[in-house]
This record gives sequence, C-alpha cells and structure tokens, in this order.
Amino acid sequence: MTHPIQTPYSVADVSAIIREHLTQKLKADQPDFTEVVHDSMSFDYIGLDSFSRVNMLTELAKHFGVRLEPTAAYDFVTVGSLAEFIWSEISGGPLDMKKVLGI
Amino acid sequence: MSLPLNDVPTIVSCIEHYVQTRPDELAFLFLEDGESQEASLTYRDLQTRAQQLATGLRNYNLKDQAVLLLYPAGLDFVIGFFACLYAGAIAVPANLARNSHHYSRLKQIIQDSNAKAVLTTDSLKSMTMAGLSNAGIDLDIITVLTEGEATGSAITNGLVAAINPDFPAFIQYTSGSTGNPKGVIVTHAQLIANERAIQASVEMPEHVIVGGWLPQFHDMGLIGAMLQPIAMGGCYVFMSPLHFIQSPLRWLRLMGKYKAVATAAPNFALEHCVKAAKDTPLDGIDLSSLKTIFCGAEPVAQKAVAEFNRVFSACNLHPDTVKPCYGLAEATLILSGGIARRAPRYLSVDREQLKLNQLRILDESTEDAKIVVCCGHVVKDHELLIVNPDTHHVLEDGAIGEIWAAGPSIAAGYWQNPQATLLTFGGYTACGLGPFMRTGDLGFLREGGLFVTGRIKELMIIRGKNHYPHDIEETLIKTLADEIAIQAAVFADEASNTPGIVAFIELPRRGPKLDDSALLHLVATLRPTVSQIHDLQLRDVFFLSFGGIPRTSSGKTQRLKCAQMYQSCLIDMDPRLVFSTRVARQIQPALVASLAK
Repeated sequence: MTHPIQTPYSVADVSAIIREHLTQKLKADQPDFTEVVHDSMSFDYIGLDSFSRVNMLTELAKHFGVRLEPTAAYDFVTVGSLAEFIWSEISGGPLDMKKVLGI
Repeated sequence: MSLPLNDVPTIVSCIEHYVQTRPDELAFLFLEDGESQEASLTYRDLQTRAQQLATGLRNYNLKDQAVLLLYPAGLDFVIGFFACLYAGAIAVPANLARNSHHYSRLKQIIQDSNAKAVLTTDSLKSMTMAGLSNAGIDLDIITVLTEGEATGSAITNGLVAAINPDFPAFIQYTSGSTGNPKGVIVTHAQLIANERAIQASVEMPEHVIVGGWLPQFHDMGLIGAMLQPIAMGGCYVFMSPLHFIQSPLRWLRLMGKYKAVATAAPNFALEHCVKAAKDTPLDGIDLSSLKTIFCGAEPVAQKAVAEFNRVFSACNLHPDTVKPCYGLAEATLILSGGIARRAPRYLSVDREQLKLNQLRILDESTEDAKIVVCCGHVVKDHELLIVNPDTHHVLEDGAIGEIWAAGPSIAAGYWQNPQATLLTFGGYTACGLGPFMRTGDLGFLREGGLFVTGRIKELMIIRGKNHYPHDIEETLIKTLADEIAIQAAVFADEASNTPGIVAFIELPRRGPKLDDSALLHLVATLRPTVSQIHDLQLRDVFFLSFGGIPRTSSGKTQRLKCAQMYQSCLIDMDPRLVFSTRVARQIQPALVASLAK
C-alpha cells in the first residue's frame, strides 16, 4: 500500500484500507474481477487461498501497527467482519460477535 | 548406534522406554503464539494423558476401530494421536474443516474408513457436530468425543502388550477432494521402520531436538516432524503453520533459540524465508546447532537452496544443512534422503530432452538448462529400482523411468480398495522381481543418488501440497452442472509469482448461448468454490467451443499441451476460443495507460 499511514478513526476507515488492499491485489492477479469490493463480500468470493489470506493479514497488521492472529482470516470471512475485528484490536474496544458474524 | 528405536516393535514402546529413563524431560513444546508462549508435555505427561484417553477410547469400544481426529495445531492432537495408538484404535488424522465442502470431504473419509468416532477439542465440539450433521452424518451412529469426556483417571492394564505391530496404526488420506478418497494404511511396524530410516539417513543423534511448523496431520509434518523426535527420546518444538506463514523467520528463530538439530520444510518455505529476510534484521538468529533441514514434499529448486544458503550464512547456517529428500505416503514417508556422497548434488540437463524422459547432461554454465537436484541416497533397508513403466524392464543407472520401491516401511495398501492396492503395491518387474510399490514418479539413479524428474500421472504440487487436476476439473463440472454441462482441463500457472491454476472450459455442442458477461458470471461462481474446496487460486479461465480442449486420438485430455498453449499465448488466437479472462489482463494496462494521458 503506497499511501502514507493514517491512524484510522473508525471501523469505516479500517474497512476502506482493507478494500483498497484487495482492489490492488485483484488488479494484479485477477483483472477480470471488475466488481467493486464491498463490506459484505467474502474472501471466498474473491477467491483468496489461505496463503494470500495470511499475507493480507500480515500486511494489514503492519499497516495498523497491531498484532493480528493469522486465524482471523478464517474466523472473519467478509471484508466487513474483518474490519470490525481489526478495529476492536486497534481501539481496544469490545467486539460485538453477534453483529460481526451476522447472527 | 544402539538406539532403543532399533529394537522396539512400535513407537509406543519408545515412549515407554523414555518414560523410564527421562520422565521429566520435555517431549513436546508448542509455541501458542509462534513466539514465546510455551505449552509443553514431559514424557510422563504424554504417557499418562495418552493412556488415560486410550482407556476411555477402549471403554467406548473403539479398539480396532477407525477414529477421526479433528484438531487445531498443538498438543491436544499429540495426545489424541498417541491415545489411538495405545488403545489399538486406528487414527485418521484430518485437517480442520472450515466450510461445508470440507465437511463433505470429512463425511467421505468417515464413510470410507468406517470411523466410529470423531475426537476433537471442547471448543470445536459443537461446530464439528453441526458441520458433520449438515453434511449428512448420523450422530447417533458416529460419536463426537472430546478428551475431557472420554478420559478418566483409570488406566487399563496391558495396553502396550495388546498392540499388534502388524495392525494399522493410522490411515493417511491422500488428496482427492471431490473424488473418492484413498486411505493409505500404515501399520505400527511400517511406521517405526520409517522412523529408523529417517534417523539413519542423517545419523540423527538420540534425544534430538527437532523444530517445525508443518501441519501435524499428514506426511512430513506428522511422521518426519512430530513423531521422529519421540521415537528417539528427543523433543519436538513447534508452532502452527499459520504462524510460520505470517512471519517465516519465526521458524529460524525457534531453531536458534531451542538449538534444534533437525527440521523439515518444503522448498517454498526456503523462498518465503529469503523474501522475509529482505526487510527484517537477522541478528539474534543462530543456526550453528542445526545439522539438517529435510527439504521434501515438492521438487527442490537448486536456486532456492543456494539463495537460502547465501542469505542465512550470516546466521551460521552450514551449507550442507538443506538436504533434499524424497518420499510419499505410500512409503509411510521417506524413501531417499541424506547426502549421497558419490553423487553430484545437482545436474544441469537438457530441458527438452527431459520432457521426452531422456537424460542429456549439460555444462553447468549452459543457459536455460534445467537443474535437477539429488534427493539423497535410498534409505537403509530399502530398495529402489528405476523401471520402464510400460514394459517393466529394470533400467540402468542414468536412465529415466518410474521409481519403484520395496522395504519394511512400504505401506500395507489402500483401505478397503483392493483394486487400487494391487495397481500401486503389486508391481513386478519383467524378470519377475517383486512385489514393488509403484510410486508414479519418474527419475533416475546416478552414483548412489536419486534424482526425481517428474510424474507419470499429472499431479500439481503447489506449496508442498498435492493437487490432482482431475479433482479440480470435477469441481468445476459439478459447480456448473445445473446451468451448463461443461468439460474442463486444469493446469498450474507456472510462470506466475503467486501460485495458481488455469482452467480451459469446453462448452457443450448444444447449450445455452452465453455472452461475455454471463461467462464472467460463471467465473465468479467457480473462483470461490475452487478456493473453498481446494484452497487454490483460479487465475485465468478460457472458454472454448465444443472440441476445443486438446485431446489424444483416444480421447485423453492433454493437459501439458493446454499449459503450453497458455504459456505461449497460442490459445489466445485459437479460433475456438469464445472468451477468456486473460483478455482483461491485456486490456487493463492499455486502459490504464490511456487513462494516464
């Protein structure tokens, strides 16, 4: 990611960063994927294998300066739910699991 | 060396021995965060917990029955696995299921193995029950158990004495996600024979400390990493594979910190470490104790090894540490390894000749030569032959043919599949020698060293994992079956930096007429399914009109030809091409360029 690191102020900021990362990756690997990446899109739908998911998480962790367990890419399977999880790690706030997992 | 390993009938006897001689020494050390949070088992802990759980399994009438093991990385799986061995049950280790496709595969494995129970953890129990039930498993017949539920404080007498070395210890299910799974049967005797072979190949010392991160559930991660040190009264220090992928230098740091003498990893791990070293300081990593990195599970690239050696020499890595090896589940694990002293470490050969299974050795400086790496010498007490796969004549040194193997660790066969067992394990040479296990791999012997050059069957090995094109093709066909009846050919995208696969999809002669956006929509359906079932990235898809997939005169798909047409871009100009996703890749740069003006 080439833009300068900005402290995210909300879950929407985090989500924007994740979507930007995925958009760049898709441009390079799967340019026929022309759909706009949105919050309820799953990483399965985008076609990320496990290696790519862990790498994505590593880059996001570096970008935000937080530790992220690699299993998070499996526990939180949509852009939106991953954003909620990362925001809770950054802000130290609680994670509403029901909301995040859409139960 | 007089090791207990060499005198015992089963690996369980090794544990019994070392509980007597070093009960409070660590057998396993797991880094829960990949870095510093340690969880451990002494030999006594291991024996007690495993025997208590084994007693519980016996009480559930699981002796002689297959038990599916569903665990995350860590110590609980170690206990579950050894409990099965102590109980005389047949362990069936499996990867955790993450979606409904995975649960479908687990159902196939349960049905094929006739498993009567599933052992899992407390936190995974309800999800496992839900997933299996949704997949169609009757939970009144198959019991889902946790260690906590099954175990008691009592320990049945005579567990060890009751173990029959010729009875199956575990079943390894090889790849075949949608096709019927094939279970490789490994007996206690075959398992311990392979551990002996591994030890001898590099003269591993008793009480060896082994480091690692490979998945514990099969092949190198199970037999080479998790079980090997226990067979020798040593210790396995490890982390989960995800923690390695996330930060590969953790593996090297682990080995330095705990002074590991041996480890195992596929070729891609070496490249992953080299890449990580580019922007991470290496101070604090000291690999002077490390004597062996078994490098197997996928072809070893000489360049990757050389780079790895170069970068990590700064950490005191000895240049002989990386030792390419070769093996497969049908041999329990290892067939060749260690350093074949008389043989060259690698050879430069003519690439085109190799495709015709002819060996023409070139000067090392030759451009575009293909480098084949020596996978060591055949392991102790085993025999390797190079055989003409059609005529079954044994071939001389330097000739390329199918690798056949015999010895005490060759697996017993495929579970309840006599046809497949006969085909693979019943090879006889033209002059009547046998039976040999036919590996399906091609290679040659030279001055005592084995060189592996390819596969007879078309197998894709991506990041150390086997993928059969046929299985992925079946997935594509099934996924689109309701909408359109297609045929497919799948192959690996060799040229790309990030591993992925490409599909040629042949449309039916009479079928729905689909425009570009409809075809793109099909791709959008296929990609997530391939990712979910096979954990692979489906990169490009080419839709061809009926008859467009290259086939032999007998109708066999020519996947190699498909790959060549893709790499050379000949397919892009093929009159039978209806639509491809590669078009977007070509248009994109032009579009971007035009927008920039």
